[in-house]
Amino acid sequence: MADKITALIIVAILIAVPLFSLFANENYKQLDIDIFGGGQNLPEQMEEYLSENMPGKLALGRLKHRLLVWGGLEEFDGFFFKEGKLIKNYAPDDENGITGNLQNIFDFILQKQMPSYIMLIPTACVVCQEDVPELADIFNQKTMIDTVYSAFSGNAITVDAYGALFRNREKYIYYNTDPLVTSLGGYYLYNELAGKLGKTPSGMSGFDVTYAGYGFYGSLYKERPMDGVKSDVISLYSYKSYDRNYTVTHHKAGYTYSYDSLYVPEFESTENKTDIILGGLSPIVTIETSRPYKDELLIFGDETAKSYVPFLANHYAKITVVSLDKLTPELAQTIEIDQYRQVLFAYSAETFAELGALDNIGYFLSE
Amino acid sequence: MKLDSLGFIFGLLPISIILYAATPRKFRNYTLFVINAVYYLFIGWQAVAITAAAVAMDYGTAVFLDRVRGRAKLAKLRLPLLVLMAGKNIFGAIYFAVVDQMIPTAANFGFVVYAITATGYLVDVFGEHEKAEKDPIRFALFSTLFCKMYIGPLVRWKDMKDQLAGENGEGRRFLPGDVAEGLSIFLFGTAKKVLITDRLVEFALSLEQVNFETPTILGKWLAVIVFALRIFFELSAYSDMARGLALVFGIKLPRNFYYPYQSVSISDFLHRFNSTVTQFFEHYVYNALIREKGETEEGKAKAGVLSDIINTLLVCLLFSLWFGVNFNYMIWGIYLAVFIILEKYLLQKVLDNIPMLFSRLYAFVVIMLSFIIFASDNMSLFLRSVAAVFNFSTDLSTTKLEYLLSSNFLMLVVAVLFSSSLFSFLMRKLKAKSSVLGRILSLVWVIALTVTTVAFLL
Repeated sequence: MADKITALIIVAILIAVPLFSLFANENYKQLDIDIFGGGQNLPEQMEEYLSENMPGKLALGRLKHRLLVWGGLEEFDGFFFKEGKLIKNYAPDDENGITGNLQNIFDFILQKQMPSYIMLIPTACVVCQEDVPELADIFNQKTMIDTVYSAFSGNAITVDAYGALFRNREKYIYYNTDPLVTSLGGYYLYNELAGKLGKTPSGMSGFDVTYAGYGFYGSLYKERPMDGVKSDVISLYSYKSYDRNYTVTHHKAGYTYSYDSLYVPEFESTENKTDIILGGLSPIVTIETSRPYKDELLIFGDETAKSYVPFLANHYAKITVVSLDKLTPELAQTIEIDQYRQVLFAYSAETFAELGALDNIGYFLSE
Repeated sequence: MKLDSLGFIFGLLPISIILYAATPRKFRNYTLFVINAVYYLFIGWQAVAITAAAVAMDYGTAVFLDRVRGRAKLAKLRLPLLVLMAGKNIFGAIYFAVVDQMIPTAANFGFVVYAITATGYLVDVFGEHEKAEKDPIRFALFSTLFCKMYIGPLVRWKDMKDQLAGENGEGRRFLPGDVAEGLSIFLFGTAKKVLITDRLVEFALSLEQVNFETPTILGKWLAVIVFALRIFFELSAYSDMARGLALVFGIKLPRNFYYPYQSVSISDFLHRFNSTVTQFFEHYVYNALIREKGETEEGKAKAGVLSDIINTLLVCLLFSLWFGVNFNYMIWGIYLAVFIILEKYLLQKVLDNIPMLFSRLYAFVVIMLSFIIFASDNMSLFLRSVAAVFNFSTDLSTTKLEYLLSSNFLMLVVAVLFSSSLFSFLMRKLKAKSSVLGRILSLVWVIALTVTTVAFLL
């Protein structure tokens, strides 16, 4: 009798799983098993179907990661996981990318001869060292940043983003589930950057904080969903000392649209919740501020701009953020470089090392 | 389709069990034959075609060998026909073994196992130790049962003929006890493959990279041990899957692995590591050659030391070629043979008289070193590997290696634990104390393993 029960239970499980995967959520309607295969034979189709429709798939994924963590694994396909935080272990594929992008900036600075600033922002795996396994093999971004900065000595003013973030590494300066710097991290960057730009940074008490995107999971979590990862929240800092009106204009190929605030609540219901800040980044985003300033700042940057630009907006009549990777020649022509007093090149270390990331700066250079 | 795939575990397997259970007893071989054929079809039509042709030829040959025994003229054809078919099988096995190393294709599936199994059968029929099987379905199942075609176990006709016939020739019963035990063994084997072997493969790759960048003493020895564990778990996993599945269908296949790294000598190792292969070649080669000299003690004595040495070398060479037609495997076989011969003629008394711990330690070191040969693709790599392992002037370790080790420490401990008899010993003790508790824990263990295996397969 005991044998019968054991056999029945095990066979029942083996039958229940495929039946459940077929009939739960009426998955059988999506079934498209081609017995003669075509491009994919039947066993492969069955494997793919069961893999995608396995009951409890998410829970099983979490179980796998939990077991791997218990087993001592702290790095999963290039991701570290510690105390609820996902950190991507970044290393450049090709060091020629750094050289190429450095040269692009150099060409711009030499040709335009305008006050130029460079800020390279390290990723979390370098700054949040306590959250990364002690013996892990981490690419030395600090050395890379120092090498790039030394190449611009005398030609551009460099901003110690590494130091600004490292001093505050125990605070919530990187998202748990996204590679971006948080708004708090952006404040520390702004603190360091403002001084270099000749501005007096406002203290934290000069801002009101509200929150959005409670419990969101960013792009790192989508790549590596793991049990025990803490969700994120987006802090929205608003200057409170004086009234400010902001107009954020997005310039895309053939059309533009505007928001009348630095923060756009509609994006809270979208997948990329950090786009609440500035409404995301289009090829060109201009932030215009009502009085009293007249200065204009041109930023060549990436997604990290969302963290510090809302703080900088208080010091400039106009800030233009250009995403070179999305820029077209036609859009480039709409920017008059000469009207800007300062130009800032601000990138994450990861973006800066990408081959060809800054090639489109050539749109602004004469032959 | 692999045995350790979702499509097999939750697709073909439950359907097969239901069909088999629903079939009347005397027709169950036909159902199993259909299941077998479907599996081969899932591998590829080439596997079906080549296997079917080989089965037809060997089946016909065996029947012919049987029929013409007493007939003077036709009997002269027996030996040439045996040589032809055995040659066909051996050539096919070598060809597919070599080709499979370069381009794994469906055509290669299980032919080595088939060739050796079928050749042994033909030799038995020729030597009049067995009568040829008249039922082609039974012969096909014996020689091509899908679950044992990956790595065995190797079986002889005498091991399966009664099981295929069933009780009183009326077919096999479908016993819940067999199903329960068979599925437990199969799922355990699958877990070994997915949870341990695959992780060991990843670890070995990372280790290779670290050792390439900065060779260290710990790194090199760790690579040898990880390789040994990987080989054991991969082979024993497939063996368990084969045994478990066969048992579900009422066929008992012999065990192939008996905790080989607990061996007390190299001779012992060969009877614990792929033991059915060793026994197979011992029967058809070693014992046959000894029998040539006579079946009596006097005959065996006449065989002589030299003859024994040659026979031992031959068996070990054939054993090594089972893993592939590769020069380093042959060297590995010779290495093992040297130690077996040394043990037999020089070391046996010493090994018998020293504490078992030391004899196990001796065997363990010799076996681990043998895997350096096994793992080396060529002589140059082998010499470099040996030099690296014994180069105590290099650093003991690096931070990178320590990081890798700390990330995989528990997996290594689990692998070492399950390569030993400790877990089985504990389960036996538990079942002896309380069969009910033992059964419940066994069932919970199987379910937990299955859930975890599925998590890692997704």
